[in-house]
Amino acid sequence: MNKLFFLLIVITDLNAQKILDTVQITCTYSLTFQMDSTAADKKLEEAMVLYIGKNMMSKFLSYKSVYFDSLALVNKNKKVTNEKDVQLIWQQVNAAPQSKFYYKIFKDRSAKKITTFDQVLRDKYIYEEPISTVRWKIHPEQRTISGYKCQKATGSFAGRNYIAWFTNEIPVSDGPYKFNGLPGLIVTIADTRNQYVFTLKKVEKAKTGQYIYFPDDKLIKTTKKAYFKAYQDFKENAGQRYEDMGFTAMDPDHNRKVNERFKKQNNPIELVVE
Amino acid sequence: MRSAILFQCIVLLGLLGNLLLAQTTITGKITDEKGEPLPNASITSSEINNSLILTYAISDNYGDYILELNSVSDSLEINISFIGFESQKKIIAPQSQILNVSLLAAPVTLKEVFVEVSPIAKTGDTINYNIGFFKEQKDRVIGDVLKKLPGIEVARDGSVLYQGKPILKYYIEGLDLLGGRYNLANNNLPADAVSDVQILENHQPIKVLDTLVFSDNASLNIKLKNKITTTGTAKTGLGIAPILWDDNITPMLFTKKQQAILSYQANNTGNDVSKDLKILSLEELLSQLESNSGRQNWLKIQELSPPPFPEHRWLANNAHLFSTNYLLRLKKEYELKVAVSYLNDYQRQAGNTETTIYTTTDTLQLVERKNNALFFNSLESKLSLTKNTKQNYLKNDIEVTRFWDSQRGLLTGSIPEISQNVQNPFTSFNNRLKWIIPIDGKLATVSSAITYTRSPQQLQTTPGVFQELLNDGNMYDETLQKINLSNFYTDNSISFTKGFKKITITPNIGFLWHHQYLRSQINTITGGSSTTLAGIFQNNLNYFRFNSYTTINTEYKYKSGRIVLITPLTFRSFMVSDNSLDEEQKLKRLTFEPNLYTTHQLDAFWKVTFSAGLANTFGAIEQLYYGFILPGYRNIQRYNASIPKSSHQNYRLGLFYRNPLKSFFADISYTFRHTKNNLLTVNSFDENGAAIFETIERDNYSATHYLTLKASNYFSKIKTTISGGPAVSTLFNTQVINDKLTDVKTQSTRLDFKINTEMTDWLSINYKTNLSFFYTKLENQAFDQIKIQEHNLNASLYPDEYQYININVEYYANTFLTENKTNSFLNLTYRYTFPKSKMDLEATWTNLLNTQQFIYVFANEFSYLKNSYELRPSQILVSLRFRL
Repeated sequence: MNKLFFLLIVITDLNAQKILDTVQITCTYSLTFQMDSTAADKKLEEAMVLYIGKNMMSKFLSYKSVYFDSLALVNKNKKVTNEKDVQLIWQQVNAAPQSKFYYKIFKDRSAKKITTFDQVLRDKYIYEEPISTVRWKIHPEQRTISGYKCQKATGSFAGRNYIAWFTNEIPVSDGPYKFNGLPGLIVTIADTRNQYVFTLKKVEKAKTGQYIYFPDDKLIKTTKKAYFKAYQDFKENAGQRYEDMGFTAMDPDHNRKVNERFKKQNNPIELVVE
Repeated sequence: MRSAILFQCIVLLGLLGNLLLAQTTITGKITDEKGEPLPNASITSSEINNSLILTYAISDNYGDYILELNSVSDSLEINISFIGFESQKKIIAPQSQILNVSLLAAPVTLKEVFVEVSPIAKTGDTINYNIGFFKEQKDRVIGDVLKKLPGIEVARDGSVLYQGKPILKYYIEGLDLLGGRYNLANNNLPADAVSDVQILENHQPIKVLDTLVFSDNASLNIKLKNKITTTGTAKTGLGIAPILWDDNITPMLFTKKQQAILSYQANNTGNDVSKDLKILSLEELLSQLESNSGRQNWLKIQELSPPPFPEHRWLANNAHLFSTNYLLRLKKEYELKVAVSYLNDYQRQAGNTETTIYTTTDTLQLVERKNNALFFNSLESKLSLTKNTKQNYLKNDIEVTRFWDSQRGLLTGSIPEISQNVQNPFTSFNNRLKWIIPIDGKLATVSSAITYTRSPQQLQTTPGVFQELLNDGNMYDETLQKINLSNFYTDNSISFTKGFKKITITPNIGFLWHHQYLRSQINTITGGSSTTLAGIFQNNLNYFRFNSYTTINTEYKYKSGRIVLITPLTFRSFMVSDNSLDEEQKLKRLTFEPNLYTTHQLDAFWKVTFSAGLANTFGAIEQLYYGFILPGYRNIQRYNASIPKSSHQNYRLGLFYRNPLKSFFADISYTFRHTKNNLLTVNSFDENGAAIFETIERDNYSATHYLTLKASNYFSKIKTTISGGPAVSTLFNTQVINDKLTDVKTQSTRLDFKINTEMTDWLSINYKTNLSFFYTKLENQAFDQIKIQEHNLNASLYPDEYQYININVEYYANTFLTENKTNSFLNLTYRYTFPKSKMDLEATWTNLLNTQQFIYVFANEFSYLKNSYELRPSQILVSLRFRL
């Protein structure tokens, strides 16, 4: 329903999607995060997926969005007439929770850039940034995590300091979110305040015929800085923004209440945007 | 300057240091077995037989790498690896050298891991609107929370709008208990009992249509914390001047198998309880429209138009409402619903109306003082049976309604005192069926509506009116107008839906049969003896309407938009006959009324919509009777002309711009409507200003242009949003006013401006204003403009978490000629929430300035009206609300 809505969007947008790469490895991370910096006890958890492609591309997104990709796949193979498939996926979509993260992060090693797709209300943005996000320092410390021999690396990114553990046993220079550039897959990474913690939970070879798509929608192309400014303006003024979409609030403190709620989302992963 | 030089020196030194330390580098190229460069491979250095990585490099797009070495050992192990290739180890001496490596492809081997993904994030806000997230201390019922869910708007009458459109369905735990009368739940279901509110966007409530028919409507679902819940709210309020009360007790029960909401409400504070019975959901509204079961009040006392602000400032009521709603889930996925409600209300209205009627030759003035009493007494019941599965859909509703309403009005003023008495009971029975079944991959929908209504109404005026017409010019005691209207209506159709990729086609075929029988008579009563006027003062009218129609509905969806084409072809036949007046007419028409709707997204910022369509309307019985009827004490009318026919052309173009990067939003829309009518309304006035309406046959045209522009911008530095824009509407038409054909131009212009600012955490200010100008021109005679100003200032203060203060100032001004009518209002609200208990104490002091009347001027094409409406006096109400 709400989910169906997204599903329909996907169905209508299917042919529009561009295939960028063929998926080789699928990594599932759990992300534990704290939306409100003042409420350390209120931590949420979500599953996120990293698709690593054969040809230098990867895509990182919430587990929820993955269903839409699978749906895209169903359509790609012209199976959309098979109602059972759609039904099944829809059930899965329904079962999965609503994600807090709309972003889809595309790392392109050959073009040396990260393209981020994100959404605020109905507006869909993309912005690019250089791929070398973190200057890693590796440390002579090793630990076995989830069966993989990992080595410690540290670095800072967007106002937070991170400790990462990567494994050379999976020799792909990738990781969750925008993190990459180590000589092996990042198995776990956490900021030093433990407000954003990604942990690898599952890694598997991709089934054949899985692709990395890029949403070819009506996108607002902008810079990272302009996107974060737009998002900040939105949060400060969310109530009014909804009114602009055509909702006239009767309650005088309506806007304030909406704004209050958005004020609680004060702890993004990227604290500083240059 | 100096520091810059210093900085450069440091950088230089640093580089030098680096060079000295990292003097040993290995460079090379990584390729696959065919010699193609392999980008992205990892090259690491470590000590022999130690997996600890000392330094690393990653090959670039050409497979090239530069690995710095940083070790004191004699020899090092270089490890070259890449996913999908066999890793290679090379032992080297730690000195600068070139090392080219060719890797052999190998199947990807992974220790396919380990921990299963935790049952996906069952924590926290997992569903659309987690109420815990939105609910504040001060929110009591679910309606309070709904208001602040982003994207949801609750209108003054309680309708929940999503994206500006009424919601399609209101569910509680997936069940539609209230059938659109959801105010009852919104105003009484404790917010604490609710865990989530879901907005189901693009909701298709009929499961069998789910993947076939796209719906752009949204529905709402309330999820409860406990699957078995007994809950509800109660409220008691007391106040003064005069003694006021406001009580409400609403218990509820929700289980998996059944749901029930009972409610008893009573107040005299101007709180309109009938709002809770109002049908608000789009689906029910549409189906009601289909079944034509609407009530027509032909006879009326002279009512007063209410002021344009919330009714609790002006409504003088004394209401009691009892309502019960019950839902039971039966076997085989059937669902049974019963709703019964009883409303009793006594309302008073008082005020003055000054009417000035301008004609091309004369100006008539009329002053009336109105004192009205309205009695509402109604019983409504509804029984529905629904089956909604993926395989088929069946819904049958039976509704039986009975009203015993009456109205009493006393008019004093410049004319002789007149009292009016209206009885308008109404009975209706109606059955609606909708059945959807799949046949060969297509869906067949069978719809049927049957309605029977009866309304015997009467209007009594004392003294008698229209002496010239009704009593040979002699004064008499009383006029009695009686009407008995019975109505039978049925509409039955079958449609098929078939989707092909991006196109959905729905052909539809059906017929409609409508029969109305109108009897009316006028009695003049003098000295207790009643005379029934014969001939043209009676109606004995049969009205038949038969339509057979076929429609094809085609919808095409593409990436950036949607095109919908609806092509209805209708054969219409009408027959009107009045045997006693020896009148009869027939009309047969074949109409084709195509409608096109398109929406297209140009890019991320611009959207354009366009629609165009043709439509025809044909006269209903209200415009088709041959004998005189007195609908109110000062108009008498009949329509002895042919069946009214109008054909319309509608066009609308909209352009929308949203730039969220700059927080700027704007849209502009233009609507044009052109109508051709075959009849002209003739308005004539007698010396008392009483109107007589008749119609003459003459083709005439009207055209309406409507242009709106809206824009808003957010200024982040001052946390303020400014929005507003103009709307202009112009109507050109022709009317006959006192036997003269008159071209009329009516123009209204409205300017809106709004500013909203949140300076601090404890204060927010909202100011809204609008200016309207009305302007009428008859032939070459222009009338003075009417200007209306409305200003509304709202300041909300939050001293702490538990207290809320609202100060509301309103100012209305009406300027016409030199007259300037102003009204000012001041209202205060204070709310205290007891931190621990579930109780709320609220004190409201409305109308502090004790403004007695609301005065406003209204204009139409040929008359100006000055109305005053007596308001509720300054009053204080203290109420306590708690959860059951």
